[in-house]
Amino acid sequence: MIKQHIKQAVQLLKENRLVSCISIIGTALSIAMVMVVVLLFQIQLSGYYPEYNRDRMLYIQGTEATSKNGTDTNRGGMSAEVVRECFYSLKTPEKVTAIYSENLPISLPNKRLFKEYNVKYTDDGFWSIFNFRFITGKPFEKADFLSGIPKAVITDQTARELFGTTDVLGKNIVINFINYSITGVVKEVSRAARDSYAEAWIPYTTKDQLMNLQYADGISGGFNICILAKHSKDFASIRTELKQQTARYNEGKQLYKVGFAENPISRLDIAMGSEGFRKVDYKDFILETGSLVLFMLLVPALNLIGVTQASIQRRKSEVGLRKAFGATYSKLVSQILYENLVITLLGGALGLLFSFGLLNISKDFLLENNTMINSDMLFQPGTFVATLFFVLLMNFLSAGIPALRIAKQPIVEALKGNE
Amino acid sequence: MLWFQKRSNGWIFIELLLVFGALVTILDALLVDAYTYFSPLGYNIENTYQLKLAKLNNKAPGYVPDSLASLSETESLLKLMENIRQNPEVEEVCATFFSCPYSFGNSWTSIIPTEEADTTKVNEQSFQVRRVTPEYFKVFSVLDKEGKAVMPQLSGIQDAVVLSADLEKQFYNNQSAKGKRVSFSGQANGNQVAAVCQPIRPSDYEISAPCFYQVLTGKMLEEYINYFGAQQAELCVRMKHSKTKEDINYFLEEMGDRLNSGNLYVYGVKKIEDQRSQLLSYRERNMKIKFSLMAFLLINVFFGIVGTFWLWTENRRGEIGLRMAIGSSKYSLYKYMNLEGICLFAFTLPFIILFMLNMAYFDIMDTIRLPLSLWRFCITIGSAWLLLAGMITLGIWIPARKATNLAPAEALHYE
Repeated sequence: MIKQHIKQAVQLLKENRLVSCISIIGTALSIAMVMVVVLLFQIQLSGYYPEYNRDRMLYIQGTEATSKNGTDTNRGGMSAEVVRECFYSLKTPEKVTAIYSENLPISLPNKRLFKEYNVKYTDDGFWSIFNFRFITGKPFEKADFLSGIPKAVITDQTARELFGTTDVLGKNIVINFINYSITGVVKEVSRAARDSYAEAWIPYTTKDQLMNLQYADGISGGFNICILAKHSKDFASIRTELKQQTARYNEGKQLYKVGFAENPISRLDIAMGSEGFRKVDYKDFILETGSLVLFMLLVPALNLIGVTQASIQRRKSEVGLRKAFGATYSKLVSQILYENLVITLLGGALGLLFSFGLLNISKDFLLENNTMINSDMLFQPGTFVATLFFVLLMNFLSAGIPALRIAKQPIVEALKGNE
Repeated sequence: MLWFQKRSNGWIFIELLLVFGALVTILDALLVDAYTYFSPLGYNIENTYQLKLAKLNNKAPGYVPDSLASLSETESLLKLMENIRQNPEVEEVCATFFSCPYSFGNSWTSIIPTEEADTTKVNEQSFQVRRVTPEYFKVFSVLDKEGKAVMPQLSGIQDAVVLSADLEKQFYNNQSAKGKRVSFSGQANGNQVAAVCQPIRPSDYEISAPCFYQVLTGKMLEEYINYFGAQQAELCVRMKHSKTKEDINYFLEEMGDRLNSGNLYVYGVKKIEDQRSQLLSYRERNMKIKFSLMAFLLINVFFGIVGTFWLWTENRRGEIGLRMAIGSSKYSLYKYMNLEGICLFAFTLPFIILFMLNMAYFDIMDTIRLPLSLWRFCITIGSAWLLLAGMITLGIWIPARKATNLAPAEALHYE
């Protein structure tokens, strides 16, 4: 039966090429716009190189130092002391890493240069949380980190720019007049992977200004934290343990106390637009994004309703005849929905392709500058499920109303074929 | 005629109404943005760069412990500025503290006129203060109300302040503030107002807010440098000619050791225009999203109109053929169809005006940056109307051409 409907639908499509084209392209456009919204969300949410474990991660983005008498609040990152006392001491997570990032020129030992690179100051835990592909060499180790030995990992792109080759193990680069020897070269990272992205990574123990900050009783500094849990079920217990550590740390402080506002936040929170100091409620997100998506589906759906309505109108006598021979209400409705599904499915497939193109054109203003988009960000099962969902929704919106209407009509009316 | 077609026209009417409403909202927001964007900023950042300062790491070669340093922090900074100023490609260099245009830094402090002004009207209130050395006014071409340079007016005045024109108006109404004294941060005897500059807008998408400049020289400058640290100063440079990224990096490479002074050194450079685009990228992103949404809506209207009128002509081929057979010209037929489309569209107008009035009533539109006025309504509604009418005309043209190209005999055949 379904096969019959589809055959009939294809026949109808051929009959009125222009209108069919318009319907398909219209559907495709609207699915494309909706899918861009979905893909942007997906890029924020799903895991890809080198942040494969995003579903198990918690983030501390922002720290609050409040004076104990309550008059002064300082918002920013945290100091190395807070990282050590409150985070490295956590037992529940698998790994914890502290990150401070800055744009700095990288020079060569014999030549001072001023071109800036994104440099991340971090620790050895960073390399077990994020899975980088090393082209040569290996990360700096715990011992290097603890004793502040100036070693660096750089991307293949940075290596080529500075040395013209990626075969640079053991060579030196100069950051703030300090010689760092290169221990590893990794494949470059997309800016969309915001926590791991950099062009060079060095141990933060090599920057004395970072180690000895005294702002707000030694609490404020530049660090943010990424925590890798053994399992996402552990999130609650990690939050509890962090609260205990913070309370213990604050007891020992004279003037200020540390707080983490809404942190730690999960990847889902970040994808919905939350930040460390401002959490977006699930309801607000769904309401806001949902209404945008619905609007983008509704406008083309109105187009389609007009077209479907008109084409059904012409087939009124057919419907009347089928009814007279005993076709049920639900059968008639599903016939029209199936026929329309051919249009929306074609449009959906085309729309998904459009959306990849659209994302590529508009990535400059939708994502941060120079963000690379990889196929493993786009081709996730979620992409296809979402497309199918919106196709069905579109189908229902555009064909549902005319179908219900015509199926309700009395047989005699329908048989007459009058408007 | 419209009424008879109400079934299929109804949907397109609802669509037009929705799209019209969305367009008007988007266009209004864009109009306000554009209006604000094109009003004068109060300063000029063309060819200006910020040099980023740092202090040597204690492990770095050449590091001198503070106790052994021959130059004080202030002396190091002033020497560095002098080194840069002497380069023939540099027009002027200044230092600011958290006050460089388009930086994230902003300091606020309470300020009050010390003499005569109507103290009943002026409450002690906080305003944004920019802490700058006198050369700032030349680097960023800040002019006074008459359009004259501010910098020469500062010479010889100790601890001068420069008020923005809107702060002057707030303090002294229509009197001139120049030469009067104001007091801020609790200082009793006050500082002399050396000049009044044009209104300053913090960024391209904001309107001007009353603010003032504290001019740092001599002892005061030293105090600030010792308090914040010389590496916190923003060194802003105006170059004589525009430079590419490579050019400016090359310029710094050429300067070499002259960019070091004591433990202080220049480690990098940022074009202030780049900093501006970084700061405004959020706004620009927003605007581009609005444009894309608008294009999407217009294309949809186009499709909707083409589809609806196509079916319309299909269903009435006989009538069209008859009309043509009795001598109605292609043009008049087209005119007739177009009229129908535009009529349909015209019916949305009262709803939209109601919608706009409603928005205005509930104060949803941005009235801070651009007050409501008749011309604002006319421009937004007018341009949205023109855009949509254009799309409709285009959408009708395609099916109309197809219909009228039919030979009358063939068309009659359908009758």
